[in-house]
Amino acid sequence: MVIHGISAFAGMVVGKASLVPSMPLLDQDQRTNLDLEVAKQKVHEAISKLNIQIEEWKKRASDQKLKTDMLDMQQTILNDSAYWQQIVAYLKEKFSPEAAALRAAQKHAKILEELGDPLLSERAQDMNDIGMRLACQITGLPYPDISMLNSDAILVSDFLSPSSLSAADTTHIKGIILHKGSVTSHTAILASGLGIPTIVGCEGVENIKSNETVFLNATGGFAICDLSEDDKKSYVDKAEVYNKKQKTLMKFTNEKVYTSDGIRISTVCNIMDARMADQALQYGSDGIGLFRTEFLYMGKEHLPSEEEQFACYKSVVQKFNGLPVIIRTMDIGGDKNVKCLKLGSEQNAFLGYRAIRICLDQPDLFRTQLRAILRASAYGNLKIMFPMISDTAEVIKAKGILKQAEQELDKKGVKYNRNIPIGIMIETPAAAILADHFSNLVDFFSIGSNDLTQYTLAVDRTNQKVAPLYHSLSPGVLRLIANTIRCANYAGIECSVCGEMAGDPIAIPILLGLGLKKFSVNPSRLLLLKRLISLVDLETAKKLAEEGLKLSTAKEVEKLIRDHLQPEYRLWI
Amino acid sequence: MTSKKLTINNPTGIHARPATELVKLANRFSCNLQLINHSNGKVADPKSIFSLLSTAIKAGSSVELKAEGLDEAKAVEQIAEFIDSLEE
Repeated sequence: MVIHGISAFAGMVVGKASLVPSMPLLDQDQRTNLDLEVAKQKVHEAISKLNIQIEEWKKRASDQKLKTDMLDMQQTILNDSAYWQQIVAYLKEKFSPEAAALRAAQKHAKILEELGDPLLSERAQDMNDIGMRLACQITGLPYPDISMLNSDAILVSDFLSPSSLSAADTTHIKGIILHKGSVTSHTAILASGLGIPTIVGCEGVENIKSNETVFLNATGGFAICDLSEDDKKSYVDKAEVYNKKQKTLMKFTNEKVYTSDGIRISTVCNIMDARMADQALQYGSDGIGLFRTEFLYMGKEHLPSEEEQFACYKSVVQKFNGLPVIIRTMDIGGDKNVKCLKLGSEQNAFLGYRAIRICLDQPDLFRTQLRAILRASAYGNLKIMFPMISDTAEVIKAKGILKQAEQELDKKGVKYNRNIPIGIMIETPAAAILADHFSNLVDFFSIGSNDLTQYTLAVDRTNQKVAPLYHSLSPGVLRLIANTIRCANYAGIECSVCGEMAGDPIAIPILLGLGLKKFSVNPSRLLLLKRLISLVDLETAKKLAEEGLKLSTAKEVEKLIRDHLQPEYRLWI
Repeated sequence: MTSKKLTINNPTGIHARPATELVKLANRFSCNLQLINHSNGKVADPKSIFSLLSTAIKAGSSVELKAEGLDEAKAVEQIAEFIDSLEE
């Protein structure tokens, strides 16, 4: 039987299920006739004992910063003056000590939840967790504890609290399957920090029996229980093959990438926030090829201020410590709407008021972002990129507005990089065809293959009905890419591809053959990209590209590439 | 009374980990402390993590730190330094 969930940390494992019982039921309406001072003393003693216990856990986890940070925060909550005052208030209302501990935690948790910030709602869980721990300590009831786990297991539970995971000996935890929880919950963050394959939000965890063998495919976001002997064997093999491949890929983490004939290729990442920047760093990215800033604008009541943007860009560029970070100015419109801009809906959103078109039309909005980027440029190797360019006049106008933003900073005496490199996305057919003209105006190109494909083939990439017509390997698209790369190389400027195509195993050899030297992909695909590039011989790829450009359909191109893949390369597709 | 105006520079604002550190630091001082979030008018007690988190101090917020008591000058100086140094 298959149990579906959401992947919180990838991995594949076969192991014995260890069911972690749910929390004990405590009556939070329970009243007492205890004298107030006696009741206060009782809670006070429980807090002291819990403090001693947390100190012990901290000592045990002293080499794991994530765990000690978490325990530190929970201890701060436990000893908080506002928490204590709230407990005393409930004790005065004659609630029992355990009920007061629970209620006070819940009350504060509710306040945080009502603020509507997902990060703070997760902290609300930590507060409830501490309330529960304290109530258990007061009553002497057992708190579901996994700190004594003594053999390898996949933990299965309705909900696992961050503090129980922090207290556990995690070397025995091979996987985690949870009914509740989200990928941003503290438990999920902890599990991913500890490198434990985890799925959350799983329906049907109650079907897993204690000690039965379970196959957890956290990469795919599911688990399978009730396995036959044959199943077990095949899943053990499957997990082994997967883990071997992952191990091979991990070797590429800190490697610079060269084709098999020794040409250096730069491999960078697409990100949308600081957390993805950390992932990119973790996998040894050569920088950031595309920082999608529109996500700072989406799902917000107000436009992000210059300060907020500056803080975000600065933190990312500092993380990369001199490696290039390309920030793309907001690409709003098309399939990405922003409430607070009140854009309204359009008949033909992809051909409409979007990206640079909005920015040139609303220069105030544009300058706010440009100032934030410029200010961040003082802290590292930052580059600016404009999206959705189809006319050289747009580049000239955008540069003019950038100049104004620079002058505004000059007036205030704010420092920034005066020679910040400027580039454009090549995603309209016009930009690709006129790449020779654009190459004289900018310092780099980045080919947005998703949009370039949809505009060249006139296929809406969000429309399922025409999905079979969408193919980036169409020679129509390839000739535009070839022209773009040729013009960039001729002008001596950098060119990269940052669309899905850059991480597509079939497209990689032909892109290399067309002369591409820089690939930008999501962090999760970076290691595979590095592995694949290292298997390609550039001379062979060049011939392949020449052949491919002569063909007339995407199907023929795909067949040509597949026929020429080496056996070692095929293993990874 | 001593007070100082500050801007929150780290991109995630005062969330769990910085809040924990800030509370630990604030509790080293005997003076009364207030952190006023000018973006939404809420007032936090930096000595309480409940109070601090529920004030929802986001990146770019301008805040004012007020202290009253024997060690107020030192408290404002050290807490301001801590807030300025936040990076994540």
